[in-house]
This record gives sequence, C-alpha cells and structure tokens, in this order.
Amino acid sequence: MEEQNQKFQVEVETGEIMDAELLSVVEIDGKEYAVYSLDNKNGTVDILASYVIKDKEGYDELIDINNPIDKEKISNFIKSLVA
Amino acid sequence: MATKERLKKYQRAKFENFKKVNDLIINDDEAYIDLKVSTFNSIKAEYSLTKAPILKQEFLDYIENSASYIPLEYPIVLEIHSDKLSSEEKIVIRKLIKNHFTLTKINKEMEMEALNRKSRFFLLIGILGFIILAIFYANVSFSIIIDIISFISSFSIWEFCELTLFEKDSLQEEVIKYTHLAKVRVIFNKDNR
Repeated sequence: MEEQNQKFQVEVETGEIMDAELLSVVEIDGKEYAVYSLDNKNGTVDILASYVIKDKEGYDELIDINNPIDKEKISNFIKSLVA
Repeated sequence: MATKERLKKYQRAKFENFKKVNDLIINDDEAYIDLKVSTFNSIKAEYSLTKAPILKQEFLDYIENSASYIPLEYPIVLEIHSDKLSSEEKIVIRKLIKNHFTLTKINKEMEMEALNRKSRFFLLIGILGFIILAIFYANVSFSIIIDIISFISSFSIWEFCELTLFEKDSLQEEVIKYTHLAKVRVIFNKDNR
C-alpha cells in the first residue's frame, strides 16, 4: 500500500490558510528542515522549507528560516532535486 | 544523447520517490548514509573465503538504494556504526565497498562502449543498405535481393534507434550513478545506534 504524505495546513504571508503536503524532513549541518509543497490550485505547487523545532510539549513546530546561510543551504538542496 | 541536463531530468523524476524518503542527513555539503553493522561476519557473504571476503549483496543493495535518493551534487559519506569492528576489518570493509562500486562503474562503462559500437555498426549497415537499394531499385531483376537488403537496412536502422534512444540513456544513468557511488567516503563510528 502506498504511503500517504502527511498533510497539514499553513498560514501564508497573506494570512490565507493553505493545504500543505510534507515532502521530507532533512537534517543539514545539525539543523532539521521540513520541505513541503503548497498547492496553488492552478496546476502548480510551491516548494517551501521551514525549521523543525520541538515546542515545550515536544511536538514538532515549523519556524520560518531567517538565517540567510541556512536559507541558501536548504535552497541549494531543493534546487538539486527539482532544478 | 544523454547530456547532464537530461540526466538531471531523470533525477527530477525521482523527486516523486524523494517524497517517501525521510531522515536525509547533510553535513558540510556531504550526504550521509548511516548503517549499523554488528560484526564483520554479518555483512560478509557466507561462501566467501576468509582471505578473500566478499560483501553480502543485500548490504551493497541497501547502500545503493539509499544513495539513489541523494542528489548528484552531494558526495556520499557512508557512516558505519559499530563497536565490534577491528582496525583490519575496517580497512577491508572500506576497500571492498569502494572496489565493488568502482568495478561496477567500469563494467557499465564497458557496456556503454559495446553499445556504442553496436549502434554505430547498425547505423553503418542501415545506411549502406539504403545506398545499395537506391542503386538497384530501378532494376526489377534484382527484386528479391532488393527485398532482402530493404529488410536488413530497415532492421539495422530500427536497432540503431532502439539502442540510441532507449538503451543508451538508461545505461548512461547507471554509469553516472556508479560514478557517484565509487567516490563514497567510508567512516566508522563506535556509537551503538
């Protein structure tokens, strides 16, 4: 039986809630990133990435990546797969 | 012809499979494959001699499958977790893994050369056949020979197309894959994961 990817909802910059599909979790230089896709509902998807941080209760939380070096690392990783 | 861009297309197609892969670890721009090995005998083929050991195919297959999801841009580091391997065994394991993938790469390159020779041969036969056909076509008394040459030429051109369009690209992809694997760096970690 084919595994289903984890689906969840995210709030984008415009405040809109969109459906996201977790593609993978990758650890780069000790930091964990979630790579997920957002369906634009027009036949295209956006591929995004966030830090994966444990909250106080131990659940995974997605945090925006603000560090430009980390952004570049995860961006290079995603580009190597889809570019 | 399989160019680097077309080969990246094959890797992109694997992105669908990438969705099923978790726990990909990248450190200092190197992709890590973690393996747990209890003892040397657990990865050595049962029928191989002590002085000429061979690694189990399932062990090598596991490495190959894990590596297939790693983009070509990232060199592969194979981190073997074991607290029971001696220094000599580590040297042997490292050598056997690298030799296996290097030899497989060389075999694939030789297959590629053979395929190129075959496709050139078929192309030549096909072209010569059609030239001969063009010369003898008007002469009805050679009709049987024309039919035979026509068949051989068409078959040859078809074989050339099949080899060039279908087989060559998949073989090229294998050469690239084993070239990536042949450069694997093997390290050992004593932590017992």
